[in-house]
Amino acid sequence: MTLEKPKAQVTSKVQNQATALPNRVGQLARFVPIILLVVVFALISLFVPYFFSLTNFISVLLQCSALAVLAIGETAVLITGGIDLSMPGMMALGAIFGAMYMKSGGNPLVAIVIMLVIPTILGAINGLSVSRFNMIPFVVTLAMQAITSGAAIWVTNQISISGLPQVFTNTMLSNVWIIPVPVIIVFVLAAIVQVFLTRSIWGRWLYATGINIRTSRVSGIPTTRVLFLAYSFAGLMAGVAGVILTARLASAGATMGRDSVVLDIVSSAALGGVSIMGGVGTALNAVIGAILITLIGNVMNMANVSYYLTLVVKGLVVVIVVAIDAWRRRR
Amino acid sequence: MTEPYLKMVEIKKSFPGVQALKGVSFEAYPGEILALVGANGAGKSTLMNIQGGVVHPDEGQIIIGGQVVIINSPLDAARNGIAFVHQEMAMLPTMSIADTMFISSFPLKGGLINYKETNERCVKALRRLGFNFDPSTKIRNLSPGDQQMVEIARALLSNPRIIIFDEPTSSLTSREKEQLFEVIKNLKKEGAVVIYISHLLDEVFRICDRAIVLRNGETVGGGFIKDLTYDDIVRLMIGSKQISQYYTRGTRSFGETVMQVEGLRRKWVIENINFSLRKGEVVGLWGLLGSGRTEVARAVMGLDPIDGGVVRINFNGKLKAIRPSDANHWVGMLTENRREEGLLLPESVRHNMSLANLAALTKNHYPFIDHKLENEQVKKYVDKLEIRISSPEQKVATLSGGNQQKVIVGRWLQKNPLIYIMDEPTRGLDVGAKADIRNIINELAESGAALLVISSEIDEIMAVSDRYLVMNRGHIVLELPAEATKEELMAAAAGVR
Repeated sequence: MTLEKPKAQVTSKVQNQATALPNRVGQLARFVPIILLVVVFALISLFVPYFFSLTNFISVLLQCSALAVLAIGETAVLITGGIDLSMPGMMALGAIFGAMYMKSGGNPLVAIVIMLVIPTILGAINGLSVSRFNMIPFVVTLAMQAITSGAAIWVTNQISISGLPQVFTNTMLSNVWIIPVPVIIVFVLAAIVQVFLTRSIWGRWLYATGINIRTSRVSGIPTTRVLFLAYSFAGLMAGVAGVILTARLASAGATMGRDSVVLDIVSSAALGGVSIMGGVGTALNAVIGAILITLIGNVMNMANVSYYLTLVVKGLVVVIVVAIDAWRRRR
Repeated sequence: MTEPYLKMVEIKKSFPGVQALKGVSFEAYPGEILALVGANGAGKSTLMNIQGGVVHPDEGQIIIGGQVVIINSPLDAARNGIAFVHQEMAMLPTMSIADTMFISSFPLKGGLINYKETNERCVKALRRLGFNFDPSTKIRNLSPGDQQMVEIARALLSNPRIIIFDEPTSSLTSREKEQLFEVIKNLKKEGAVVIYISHLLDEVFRICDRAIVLRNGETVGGGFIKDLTYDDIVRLMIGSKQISQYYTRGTRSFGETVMQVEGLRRKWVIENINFSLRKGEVVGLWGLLGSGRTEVARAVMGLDPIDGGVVRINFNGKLKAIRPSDANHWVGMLTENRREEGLLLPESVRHNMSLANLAALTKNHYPFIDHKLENEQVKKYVDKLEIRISSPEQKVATLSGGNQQKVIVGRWLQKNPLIYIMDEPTRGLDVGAKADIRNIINELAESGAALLVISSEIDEIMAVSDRYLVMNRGHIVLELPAEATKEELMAAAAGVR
């Protein structure tokens, strides 16, 4: 490059040594989630007979598919330095209205559109509040979760909407070769989002906004629009997750939107190495995080551990991962 | 004359890379107002921070009332009867006046705050300054001037013997200023030692008895105000041997007006700012710290909200008003705080350099960034600016200040805007990097860009400017040509008429 001058070369060498270590650690950090997944999978296979099989792995993937889609949406918001606590509520409300429409004889395709559009609009409201009106993401989305999950219970009277058209459930749960449609949706989405995050201008803007919104503004990045789109995207992903979950449960109900789902989403993203403080994370790793969380849940379920203790463990996982993240940043 | 109450003896202090104080000594007497004068970076703040216990001296003694004291913390300073009225107010906007004043010294009754006594003492303290506020008024409902008075009242609560005022009038209106001067004169009558730090010479001449001038961390002179003239002090501030302008520069020809700012204002901060920039011209926005220089730049860039005014940009010979938030399409900005607003510290040189120009890098397959093009562009400007990096993937956090600043310059060069605003472009850089940045400024102007450069260093701004706009108290008070001398600039910024 420019380093013809001997003096310059010396400088660069010194700087190179100084950066070598943190850089290598940074590179490795990207692979921690996948290594963790392999280790956890191997450990479970060791102790649980018949666990290690392709069909079992695929069934775990199917089981975690809705969570994985939610985690992808959450990742976009976490990268901006915000948080979205309203994804379960938005998902439930969209799913309920879509299911009601289908049950009353509506076209399943239109129902899917309803399931996608309602959460996207709700996400856009979150985005507008955060980006345009400078409201605090935590509060905005907490309120949105209360509103949407409350509305879901109110609309359904706590009764799930079942008896949906077979076309809907059958198509959504059919296999392509041996892979169920929801799993394909997850991986196609993860791949698209991953490419957008790493290769597109919007991805670059998203990270820049999360790393330093002031620098981003000075550099002419439309941070308001970036934030708005991140929350709207989280809404859309809540919609996709709603479609998948409705098909898998063959019903839609208010329980989809229960608050504890937020814990699963945030812990998936955190375990996937998405920083709660913004600027760091990838969609693929968030999906791996979702698989890990699902595995943890499964194991505890198999061991007959109380559901409430499972919550304690998941909560601890979040605290530990966030603590590691904070510790790494402090250095 | 009586015995000095405060003596500072041979105070030395160095920070990494700079010797801020090279042995400063002075004495202050009770019942006297002592002015501490000096240009930006002369060492005034360091000296006073030592006295306030914020910074520890490397060498030297502080003698108060005949005894050597060691001041290790602001608490020690308070114990020794020193009070500090800061330039930047540390206020709690949502709290009441009484809460703000007594936040560290609430009178208690049975472990709870005794509000009756708090309010009584608060009213009393404010009355002493001639103010009649309701103690329960919220700080945010006060004007900056009134907030400053609350700050002063707080400083006076402990009945200090030594009171340091650091640029106390920078946010005051003239009425409030008169009130403050009354207060200071009363303190003098009460026998306190008043140290008054200011760049504004007219104030120094109005109220001070004696002045000490600092330059480059040394006391270079001083004396009784009645024996001094404005010119004496200005000369002491800038140093007689440097008086002539030693930077020469080829004369440039300027083109059409590319930006015109009219009536820009932001309440309490800047008022009625008018100027224009021409093609190929470097305009130095000169003024002392707190005069509103940075605020003008931020208002033009749409980074801070404005209360009025228009910014116009030249489109094919016609000046058209733009929305402030769109300014970044035509104006590249180097902010004064590189780390907070200039860089994405955890990111690579490549990502930092492409940041402003990403849209152009997606022209082949929107919205995807053309990596080949990006790498070419980054390499081009790394080479052009001679940025020393091991690879474009090196994290900017590991670069030297000069190279970091060049990365930001490279970011804008890539975008190639019509206009550049550079706020303290060489702050914290070493001599070599400073020269590099200066050369870049000259080259940009020669290539036809219009530049607005802000600097606290008079040599710096004189080295690059074709014209000066001088600011004082949020106004552009004077426009000076390239031939202006250091004395003229310094005097204009200090408010000397």
